Amino acid sequence: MDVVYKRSGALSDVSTTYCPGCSHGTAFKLIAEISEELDIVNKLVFATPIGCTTFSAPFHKFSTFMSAHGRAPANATGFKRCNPKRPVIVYQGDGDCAAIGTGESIHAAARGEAFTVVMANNQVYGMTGGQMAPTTLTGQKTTTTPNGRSVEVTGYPIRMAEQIAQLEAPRFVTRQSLHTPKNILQAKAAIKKALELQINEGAYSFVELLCACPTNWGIDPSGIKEYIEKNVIPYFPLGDLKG
Amino acid sequence: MAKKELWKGNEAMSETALRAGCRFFSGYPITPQTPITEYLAWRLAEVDGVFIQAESELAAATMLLGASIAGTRALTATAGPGLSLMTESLSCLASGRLPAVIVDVQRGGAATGNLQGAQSDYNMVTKTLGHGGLKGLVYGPSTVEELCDIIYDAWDKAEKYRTPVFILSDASLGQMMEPVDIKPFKQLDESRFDLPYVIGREQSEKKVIQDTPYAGPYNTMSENLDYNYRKYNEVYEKWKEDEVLYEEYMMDDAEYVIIGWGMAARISKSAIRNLRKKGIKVGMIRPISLFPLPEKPLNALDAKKIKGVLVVEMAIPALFYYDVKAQIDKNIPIKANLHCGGYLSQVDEIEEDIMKMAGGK
Repeated sequence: MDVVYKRSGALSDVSTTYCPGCSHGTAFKLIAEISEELDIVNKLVFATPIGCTTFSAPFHKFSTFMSAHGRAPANATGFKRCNPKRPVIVYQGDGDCAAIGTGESIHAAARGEAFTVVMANNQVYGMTGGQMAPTTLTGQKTTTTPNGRSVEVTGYPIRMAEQIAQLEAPRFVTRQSLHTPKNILQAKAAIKKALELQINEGAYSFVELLCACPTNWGIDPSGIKEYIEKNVIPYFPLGDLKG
Repeated sequence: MAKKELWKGNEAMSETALRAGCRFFSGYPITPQTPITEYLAWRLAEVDGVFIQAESELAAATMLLGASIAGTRALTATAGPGLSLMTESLSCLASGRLPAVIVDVQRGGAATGNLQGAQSDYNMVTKTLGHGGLKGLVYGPSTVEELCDIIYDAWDKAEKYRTPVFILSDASLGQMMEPVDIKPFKQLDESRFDLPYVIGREQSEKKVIQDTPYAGPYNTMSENLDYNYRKYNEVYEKWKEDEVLYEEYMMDDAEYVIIGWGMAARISKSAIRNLRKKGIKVGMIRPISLFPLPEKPLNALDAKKIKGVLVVEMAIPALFYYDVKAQIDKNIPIKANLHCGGYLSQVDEIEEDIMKMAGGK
């Protein structure tokens, strides 16, 4: 019998510690598969944020460095400028990338640093237990918007990919989702394209991934597909914004 | 001996940093530090180094972490409010045990403050580097030559102990011109890319560089942090034996002792020379390493021989004064001569304070 699918060799032989329905494991799987396809498992460097992926290093085989909350793009700037031959993925949550680290995110993109940012947009602060994120949808209930996010009090959710796409230097900016098999395959193609642009052209790219956090959304994991299609994609449209 | 050249402090230090092997600088313009950033903007390019004008001091200091993880000797410099923004990364450097060098060209006042020299950042870097209570080596030079001597060896020490090294300069030292001996280039070998905290060139086995030492012999993070930070503290304690630097000036027959560091100490030397002409036996102990503080020469001051100690410091409230007081025999009278906000220590006031101690002669 032919093997048509197997666990990526770039993943460690352990289970992730993520909640049922969480998208981080799927995102890691895609990055692991791509790293094997591009033969960069022992070259790729993973820059982690503060959030649910802070302690992700045991789940995969990539060299990893940690950063303070929001600072991964600055940390990666120092690393990549001094070590230009290592491909780098900066993996951030929406709070890390679009709130506390907005300055570092925008300026690394504006400089066109030669790394790939993958931003997991799950519209909530996951690690700290479900507070409002810069991406929390209008009306969405979180522990810090108990009556639902109000635009009068907290303004509007930030579309980070659109912010990055209006800059000159980024080569490829896209928003993808991980809520269906088809979308997962499209997200994989996008991350792979971004990494190839980094390796071949030294280009900065930004891949925003719509992710699920059913624990903090207060829904059953079986309802993720419907929730994302009904609530998330209308505000965060999918597709390439640049490149 | 090489012929000495006239250099401004900020620029002499920058050139010496480069010759010590520094190949990465990230900075943000702030007076009186800006000449360092401007100098290295063109000079690093000449030696294939990396210069980045960062978007903030937050980012500038964070970039040091990445450069250090890449095995590169990295530097940033700041002043005043910029130091506040850098403290997050100072904590990460100390906790991750990543070598890097940080220069604070101190300016007057808190908050926005002003642009003249001061010593008010003393506590902020000698007591703890950012949150979490960890330490780094801290130096307070008082001449351009000494500033260069310290930065020339700073990365050797940073790498030996895997620690951030902090240099407290100030506006006057940064901008004054003095004759210096610009040192030769150090040659670094490739083995540095195999150091334990370095993610090496091209490819490598998996390395995980954490800014917090979670790994250890125990099963919980708390136990491992307790274990690892205890080990860090053993290193800090050892510095008290191995890394203490200080100068004793006219101490042989001294009855009165001025204790100061950096610019305050330098100004005090003029007062000492004037007082000596009047027949008053004054000397000085000048700490050069501020952490570790030279405790032994302070402990050794003999109440039978020393009639008074004057701490001269450019900080109000006093900071360094209390560290000195804690080390001095309680039977020795101790006073402080303080200025701040860019108001430098004054020679005549220092003389007057010692004269009063000596009975108003």
